[in-house]
Amino acid sequence: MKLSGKVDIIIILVSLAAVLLVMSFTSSAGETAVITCGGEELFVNFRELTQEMHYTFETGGGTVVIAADGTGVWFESSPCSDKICVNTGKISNAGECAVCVPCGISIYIEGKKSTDGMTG
Amino acid sequence: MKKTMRIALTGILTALAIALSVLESLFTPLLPVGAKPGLSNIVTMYTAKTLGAGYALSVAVVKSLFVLITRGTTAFAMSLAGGVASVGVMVLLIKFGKTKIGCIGIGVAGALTHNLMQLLVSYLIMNVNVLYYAPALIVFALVSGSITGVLLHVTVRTLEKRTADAGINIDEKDEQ
Repeated sequence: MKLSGKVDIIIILVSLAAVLLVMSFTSSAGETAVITCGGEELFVNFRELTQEMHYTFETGGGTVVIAADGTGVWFESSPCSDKICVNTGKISNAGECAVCVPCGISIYIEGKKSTDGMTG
Repeated sequence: MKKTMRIALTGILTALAIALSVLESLFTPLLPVGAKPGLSNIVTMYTAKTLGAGYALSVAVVKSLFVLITRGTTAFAMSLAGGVASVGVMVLLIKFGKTKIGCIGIGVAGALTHNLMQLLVSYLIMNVNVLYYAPALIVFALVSGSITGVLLHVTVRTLEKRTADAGINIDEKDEQ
């Protein structure tokens, strides 16, 4: 048998196309917001929240307030000058993130982590 | 080659497949999302190519039974589904793609089927959003499938030479 053939290239191209297709669909619901501030991480399972919560962080750049409810997480207020973080708005999909660079604080949304394809 | 010899060879190949999957589970934690290189797939591919579909299927099933004993029913269901489906796909590709397909294509197709079937089973068992993992698993299948495909190519070439030197003809058509 040969090492590779025409069909091999087709298989590889089709699967790469599938990756792109699936990735465009997997802007799917995230589960946990990971708030990173000064090397420390705070995990918020925002899907379980029934009311709006506020988390206050004292950063090098001032006091940052991050808010979360059952539908997403967002920067409520920040003392930074450009307000990119606040303008990012609410994030909730797996892989999304919001960052406030001047204050050194970020939110990253993680998806479900309970599965893995671990068998022989 | 006599049927008895084929069965004995299948037994040896099954043992090899199990040994390889145990071996690779030792360094699995190094890789993300439970990805595995699927070295035992080389054995199933080789079996499918040289002995035929039925023999390859039995290698996959016996290997899953080993998983059942050592790692429980969930792992068994995933291993069986992945193994049987990938053997099916690889057998079809070997049969219908004779000249147009190479070892890499078969390796990649087998790895893809294996990973995606496991994803499907984990969805059926745990009912979680597994689509999130599909892109990573597909990309990983491309890499691991290519590696196992190259290894298969080397293995087949070496073994064909050795068996020819020893005067043994394993070629399937030879039977009956």
